[in-house]
This record gives sequence, structure tokens and C-alpha cells, in this order.
Amino acid sequence: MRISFEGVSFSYANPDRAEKRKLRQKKRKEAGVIDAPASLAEHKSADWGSDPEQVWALRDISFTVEDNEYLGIAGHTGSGKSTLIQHMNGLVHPTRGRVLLDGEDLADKAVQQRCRVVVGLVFQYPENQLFANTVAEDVAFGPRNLGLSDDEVATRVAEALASVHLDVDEIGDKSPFELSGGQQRRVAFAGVLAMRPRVLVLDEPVAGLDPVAREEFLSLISELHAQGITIVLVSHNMDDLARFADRILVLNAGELFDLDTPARVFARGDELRSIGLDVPAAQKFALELREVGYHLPRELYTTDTLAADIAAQLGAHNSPTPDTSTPEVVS
Amino acid sequence: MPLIEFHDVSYTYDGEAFVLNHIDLSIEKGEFVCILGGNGSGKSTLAKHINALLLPDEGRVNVLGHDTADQTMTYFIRSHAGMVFQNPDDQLVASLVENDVAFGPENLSIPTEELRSRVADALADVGLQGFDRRETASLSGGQKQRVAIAGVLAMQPEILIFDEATAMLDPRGRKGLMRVCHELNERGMTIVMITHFMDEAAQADRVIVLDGGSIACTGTPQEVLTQHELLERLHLDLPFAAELSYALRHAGVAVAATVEPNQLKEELCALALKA
Repeated sequence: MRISFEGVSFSYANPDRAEKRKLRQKKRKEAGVIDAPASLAEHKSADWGSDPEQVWALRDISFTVEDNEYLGIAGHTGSGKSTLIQHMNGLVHPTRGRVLLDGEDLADKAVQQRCRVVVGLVFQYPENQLFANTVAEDVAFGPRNLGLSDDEVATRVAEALASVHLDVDEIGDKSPFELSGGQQRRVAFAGVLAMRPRVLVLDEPVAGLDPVAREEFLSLISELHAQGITIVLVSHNMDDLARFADRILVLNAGELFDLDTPARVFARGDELRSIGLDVPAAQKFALELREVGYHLPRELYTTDTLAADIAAQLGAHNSPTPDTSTPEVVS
Repeated sequence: MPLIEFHDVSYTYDGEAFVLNHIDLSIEKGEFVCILGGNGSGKSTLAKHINALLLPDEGRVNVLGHDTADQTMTYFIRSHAGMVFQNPDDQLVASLVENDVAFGPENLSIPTEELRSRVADALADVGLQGFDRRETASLSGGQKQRVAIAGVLAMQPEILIFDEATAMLDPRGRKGLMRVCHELNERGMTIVMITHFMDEAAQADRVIVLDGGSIACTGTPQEVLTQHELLERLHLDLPFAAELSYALRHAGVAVAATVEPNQLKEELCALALKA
């Protein structure tokens, strides 16, 4: 399953819509309907980022999410990330350009219908969207709307809950609101998985979770990716993007700033900082050490590889130095 | 006398499981304290006791010399201990920035002239001068959080409590918010911050780590955040510098355990010169 963006631009103040509105107002006037004063009816332009004059949320975006890719998306608040991912399953439509699902235009209603099933969108804080009386009912909502039989729906609910490591027999009849925050989020995630999507688009899925819950959730996403599902992950956490993504798409003020491997994207440290982003902590530290003369050849560093390369260079022999603050058992 | 005092405080939401267990704690005026802990460790519950949003089932909480259980003081305590929450969209009430910031003091029937100066001062304090006529809906997440802080500041509080207030922000928004916190702290504001970001905790005067409703340990960031085994057991990360210095010591490089990236960098520079 590939999703291609071809010259996509998007404005919340769509000129076409503005034109239609004017036409509508003219007709109403001719029909003798008294409208609200023009000053009130006047449409305010969308305000993005820091520039109030800027009305385009996305400008001329072209790229393709490849089949079974793990694509990361980064960008400061207001850079257009949410608008971009909402194009991926036809929730919003490009003002200019087009979005293709396996070569078929999402402007087509039939393609769009199919797309809503195969592309699953998980919003920020998805637990806020739980609504049903029981966990099972909540997860069943999507499949039921597909018109599936009761048996098929039950199978899918059990399967979806199992893939987020929850047991339908144990919690299926509970109210979702009795669960912990982390569990609630997994239930909401299961609701999307029950549609058996081929592509999962996740907007900041681990925001607000503690480190252990974060790791669990991220490895869950990796498991799904290993099963062949395409992943699109929006995150402010550069360390997570560096660890998991095949490629990272960087948005700045609605424009495609970069789309490349984590190593090449994070090599542009200063440029990223200038658009309000950061590089992973280990990478940043490695760049600083390079400046003071350390020879650190790797393109992209993690804490472990950085420690190993520094140690190698200082000629440290592999015997842990005694540590008084944190006694360590050496086996 | 400490500004905030917990005496043997326990609290339960359902009458069975205690979310806070015999907490003893005191925070002095002008301190910058970070509260850490895994999901469900009781961090938010503890914070909500400071401004009487919750009252202890057992024990006593004193804030600014008043027992929070004394209902006649509830309003006084809330206006002097302001809270900023996680979701910027949940806490703004007005459509224009200045109206939002003025909302609290307006309810205290403060004269218009003073109201204006309080709003202007509060916006200046959070670095949002000239934003008074902006629509709140047009702001970024980080700007909205700063408006929320300004709304609290306009009440002229003595304590600011942040309940994961940076969780939804991008890196730039987080840095901006932390800078505002430090500036306010330098001018004497007491700050209690709940966070999952260890690099933010590393900037505090003192950290308190909660586990299962009890205080697992407390101390300076340097003392607490370099304890690898303890933090791992409590489901917490190490700040980057502590993590790297730990990995380096294991690889046989003699560096001190530290939470300060700059200190680690200096040590490594010195070692490189020797090698």
C-alpha cells in the first residue's frame, strides 16, 4: 500500500470555498434575505505558526510513503503535521494537488471509502475518544459499521485487543473508564486495529506516558511494522524517530524541509535547530565532541555506540571503574 | 516556616487503594522542586493537595501557614498557589489573550487600572508582550501554555504548580516554558513541577521521586538522577549526561557520574588531551 502526495497544498481559507460563499451570499441577497453585517460574515484567514499573513497550512508537498515503510514526521507545532496526516485517509482534501492511494486519487468517493478502512489514523490522546459502556463495545464500533457479522466482529475485537496485549475475557466487559491511562490508550489503539488497516498513522502516540509505558507502546508499534503494516509516526521526540524510522520527513511552516534517512537528516543539526527542532541528545553530544577533536566516524550516534567509540579512542580497557554511588555487580 | 508542608498525608480515591501513603514533605519559599515518578505513582494527586483541589484523608497539608482542610481559606490558598495543566486547550477560557489573563483577577473585583497593569505585567513575564489582542485559538501550544501561566501570574501567586505542563509541547515550546520558569524562580517564585522529562528535572534545585504513593528518594538532581538501578526500578529514565557517563564508566572510561552535559564534556576534553 503506497500513499503518494503530488504537489499538495492546503489552505483552511480555500479560495474556491470563498468564491462559493460569495455566490451564495449574492443569491441570498437577490432572494431578499437580510444577511449579518459584512464585517461579521467576513471570513478570517487561517493563522499558522507565527506569521498571521500566512494562510497556507501546506505548500506544494510531494512524496510517497512506501509499502511497509516506517516513516517518521517531525516539525514544530503549527508546521502542518496534523493537516498533512489528515490528508492520508481523506479526512481533508488538498486545495491544490492530489493524494493517491496505490495510484488511485483520493478525490474519488469510492477510493476514499476504501481508504478509511485501510489507513488507520490514531489521533493524539486517543483515550479521550473512548465512549462505549464496555471495552469490547468500544473496540467493536468500527468493525460493526463495516456491516460485519457478529461472529466476525467478536473475532476482530479479541484479535485487536490481543495485539495490544490485552485480554478480551479479562477486560472486555469492563468500562474503559475503569482502566489506567496507559490501558485506555491501548484500547483506543485496538479500536483502530480492529479495522485491520494496512497503514497506521500515529500522532504523538506516546505523549504523556512514563518511560516504561512509552517503551511498551513503541515496541508494540514495531511488532505491527514487522507484521507488514506501514507505519507513519508523528513525534516531537527525535530520539524515538532516530531509533525507529526508516526515513524522516521534516516539515517547516507547511513546506517539506527534508525527507531522508535519520542519519542524513540529523547531520543538519544547526539547520534543524533554526526551525525549532532538535537532534537526538547523543548525536548532539557527538557533534560537540567532534569539534574538540574526537574522531567519531559514525553517521548517527546512540548513547551506547557513543560510549563505545569514546572508550575505544581513549584506549580504555574493558574493566569497569569502581563506582561508589551506584555499586554494580560485575559478572 | 516552610511554604508547603505535608504531615503524614494519605489519600484514596475509592476508599481502598491508597494513592498517597504517609507523605511527609516540606518545600521552602523560592525552591524549584521537581516531582518524578511512573504513571500512577501519585504525582498529580500530590500536586492537587497543594492548592486544596484534593484534601487529605489522613494527615494534614499546610500551605502558606494555613491548613488546606479549613474551607474558609480555600479561596486564599487557590489564589496564591496557581496550577498549570497538561493540555493547553483545556485551560484557556476566553477568545482574546488579554481577557483570558484578566479572568482570575477580574473575579477578585480589582479596579480596571490595576487589572490592566497586572495583565500587561503577567504577559511581559512570560515573554508575550503585544499579544494582548491576539485570539487564543491562533496561538501555538507553547504560547497557549504561556498564556495559561500569565493567567495564574495575574493572580500574583506565591507558588506555581506545573502538572506535566510541557508534555504536549514541541522542543522549542518546552525550552521557552522552562526559561520562563527559571526567570520566575530567580525572582523568588516557588515552583513545583511534575514532569516525565529527565532533562527538565536535572535543572531543578531538588527532585522528589514517588513510587506507589510514597517518597522513594529525594535530593539534588546530581544525587538522585545518577542512580541508575534505582531509577530503572522506578520506571524512570536517566538524563542523557547521566546515562552516557554511566555507559562510559562501564566501558572503562574514568568519568564522574553527572547530570550536566557540559561537565561531562569538559572531563572528556581533559581525558583526550592526556591520551
